[in-house]
Amino acid sequence: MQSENWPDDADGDVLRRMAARKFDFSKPYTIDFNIDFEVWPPPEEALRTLSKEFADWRAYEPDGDSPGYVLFQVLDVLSYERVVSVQKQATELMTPFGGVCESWGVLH
Amino acid sequence: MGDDPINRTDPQGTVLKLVVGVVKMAIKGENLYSTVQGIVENVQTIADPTASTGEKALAALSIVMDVTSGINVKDVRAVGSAVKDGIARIEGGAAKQTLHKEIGSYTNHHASGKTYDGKGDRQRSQVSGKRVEKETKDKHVATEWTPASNEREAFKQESVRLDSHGGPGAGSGANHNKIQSPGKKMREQDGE
Repeated sequence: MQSENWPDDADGDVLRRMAARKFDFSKPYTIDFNIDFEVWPPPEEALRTLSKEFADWRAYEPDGDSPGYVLFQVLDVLSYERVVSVQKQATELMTPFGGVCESWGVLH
Repeated sequence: MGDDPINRTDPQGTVLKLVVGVVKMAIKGENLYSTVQGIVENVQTIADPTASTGEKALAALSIVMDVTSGINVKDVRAVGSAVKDGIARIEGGAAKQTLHKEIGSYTNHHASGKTYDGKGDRQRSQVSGKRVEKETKDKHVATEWTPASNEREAFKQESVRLDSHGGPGAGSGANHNKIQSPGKKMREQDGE
């Protein structure tokens, strides 16, 4: 999908702002994805399920008022389709365990 | 076996090494509670006269891995007997060690289009994202994180980010930052 066709949603807005600052969308980056859980810690079964699809993960314990979360990483070029599809896939996997994946990050 | 390497009741200094390792983890901010809990369980297994040799050996290995890497063998075993699961857990541990050493700055993007700029590692950026989301009800969507060579450069990066987003605006501008970055003055000092 070309940048001018990115949907008018939160992820599309972020990518448009990055494009305005000349972010290089042709290079691969380590993309972080976060999973939040209704109850912390997440059940072992959730982590076992996540491991089958996304091996590179770690759990962060709650920090003060901030709840704990699980972070996993994907190495790929940054695209609207990729961030949306990974969030959707992770959310579908984690929904039975009260988990949702709705944020991502990139190191550059 | 006693616990005193100086008086030769623990000539290998095993217990002393364990204590040093636990203190190191505390300083590094690792999950001390779960690690200490695991070590206590493993020591009990080793001391248990009913435990098999294999169980004692596994417990001893768990202690060594807990102290040296933070990865618990029992945790790995609990994840499942499948090799893939075990590797996944260990890779997760490797990622943990990488993330804790990072110095840098970040921009958190929120659903309203506002940003929050900060200094710190990637974990810090996520904590900030959740804190700002909780305070403003503006959902954290994504993070851009950039490494820096040292703390001063990270502060200066933060200041550049904040300037590019209009400066601190107490929530009324283009960003959620409320105060100026110390990096602003550092940039001036460095003639930038």
